[in-house]
Amino acid sequence: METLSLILNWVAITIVAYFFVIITIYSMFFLLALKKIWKEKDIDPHEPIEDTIESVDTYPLSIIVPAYNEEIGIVPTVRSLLSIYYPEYEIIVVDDGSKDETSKRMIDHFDMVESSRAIRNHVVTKEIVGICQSTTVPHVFLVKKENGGKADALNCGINVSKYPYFCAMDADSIIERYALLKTMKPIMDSDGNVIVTGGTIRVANGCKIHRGSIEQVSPPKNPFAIMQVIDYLRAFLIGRISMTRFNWLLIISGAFGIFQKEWVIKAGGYRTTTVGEDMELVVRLHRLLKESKSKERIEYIADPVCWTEVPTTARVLRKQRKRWHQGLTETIFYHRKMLFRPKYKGVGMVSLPYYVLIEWLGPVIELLGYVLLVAGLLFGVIHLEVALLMFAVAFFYGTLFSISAVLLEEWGYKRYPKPWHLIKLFLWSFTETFWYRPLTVLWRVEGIISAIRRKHDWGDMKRKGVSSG
Amino acid sequence: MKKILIVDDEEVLRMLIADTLEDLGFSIEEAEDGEEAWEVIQKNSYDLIILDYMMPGMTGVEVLKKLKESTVKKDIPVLMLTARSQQKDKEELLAVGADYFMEKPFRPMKLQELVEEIFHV
Ligand SMILES: [Mg+2]
Repeated sequence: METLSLILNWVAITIVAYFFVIITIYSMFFLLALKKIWKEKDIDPHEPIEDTIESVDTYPLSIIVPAYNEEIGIVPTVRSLLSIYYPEYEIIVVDDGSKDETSKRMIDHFDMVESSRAIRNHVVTKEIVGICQSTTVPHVFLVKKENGGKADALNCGINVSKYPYFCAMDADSIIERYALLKTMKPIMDSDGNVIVTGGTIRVANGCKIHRGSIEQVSPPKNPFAIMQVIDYLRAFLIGRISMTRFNWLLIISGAFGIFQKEWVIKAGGYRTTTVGEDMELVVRLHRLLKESKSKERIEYIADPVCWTEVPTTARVLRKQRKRWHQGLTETIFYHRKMLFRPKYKGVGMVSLPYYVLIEWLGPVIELLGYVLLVAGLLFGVIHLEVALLMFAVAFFYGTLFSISAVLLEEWGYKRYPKPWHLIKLFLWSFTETFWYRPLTVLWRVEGIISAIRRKHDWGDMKRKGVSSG
Repeated sequence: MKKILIVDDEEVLRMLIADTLEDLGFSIEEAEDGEEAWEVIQKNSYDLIILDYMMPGMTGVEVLKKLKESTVKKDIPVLMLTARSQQKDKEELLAVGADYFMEKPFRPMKLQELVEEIFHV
């Protein structure tokens, strides 16, 4: 019994040490983000737009919206995309074999007729049933295809699209009017050397939405949604801003990202065998860039440009977090050869190891910590001092960065118009350690388990060369 | 707040124009054909009328003619929406008194730029 207690106490102290390391790394990220936001703080938000407008004509792009059973949201989404401020673009809605009236709503509302548009065979996808074009707004297209999942729908959109860049977005996200212009800026500024860009995603719940655009920002009432507001702020403001500085960024959210089509085709398109197709594609592009010794980059802009409706029930949130972590597990597994290989530069040496040791392993260690803490207190196998230390670290870790992210947001972007909005976010941050974190940690560990269960059908993806397109 | 009337028989286009201009802070009213347009023009005052050329019933040209012949309403600027192939009609419209043109299909960005130019913003 005494030996067990000794071992458990040492395990607990190791966990505490692990969290100290994480806290140190996050603090570094936070300082880097602080520096970047400090530098950009006083830039007039319209200035980059004015700069961009000159060269923007040469960067037309296709917006690809995969839709599965989106009959309620699809027309408002396309409507809001129609008033986007961008000179040359097309909108391609890909109906991935919906069982509802997604296609019918599109056809009726936008007066669509059959189109004889050419389809390239860049990436193999499920069969296309038909393509329609709007007669009133001729840059709006609908592709009807057999169901094949989101990655397959995106690949199909790539085959149908005619412009050299594409923007992949979720049917339920709302993008701001200047989102395309702002997000395309790194690509234009680099003369096309940036091949992927993404922008910051925020939580739309609670905001006032009028005619498909955000009219007033305010925090939601639902506790799950509030915690996700903080979650998103933290992930985007602290993690991603720092990663992009060194070209280490591994995630461009599936909810909104812009890609150079040629490179995506070269990489083989989205992988249809993973649930984390957005991250997997970005890692694969990094890999391809490094293997072909290309100087192209992947960048991320800190401006909040896309708003998304987040889950408000434990059931749906669990499903989402499980899926995200399963996707992360799968991506790491596919690209494990890149780990600690100098050939892959910062991605292989720093960011992938970071994702493995902190983002992926974190929930496992944290869950173990919670179990030890509860068991230790119940059965007295852990010293009270050690238990207190563990709790303090968990609380500090959970709360410190949440509060910092909320502060950074207010200081840098001032999107929340009323002081009580921030106070509300602040107060909720303090509750995180007691319910939201343990729950999401548990769900993420579940994601690892489902990835392991699925491992047997992880076949290698079939590729089709560019030349056959 | 400047008030703009949008006249077009196609709902999607009215929506697109309204969404674009409302975001810029204009107050928007809509009419779906020539008759309705002429009715509201007589009752209200507008700072700009965006008028579709092709409409069933009373066409855009007819509305434009009536407007420019009227003594009280003739000074309201009119932006005509025309199809790409209607160069000949454009001359006719200019003669009748159209102030601005926009070819369909157009991107909202172009419309925004033109309207901002009209109001010097
Ligand atoms: Mg018409």
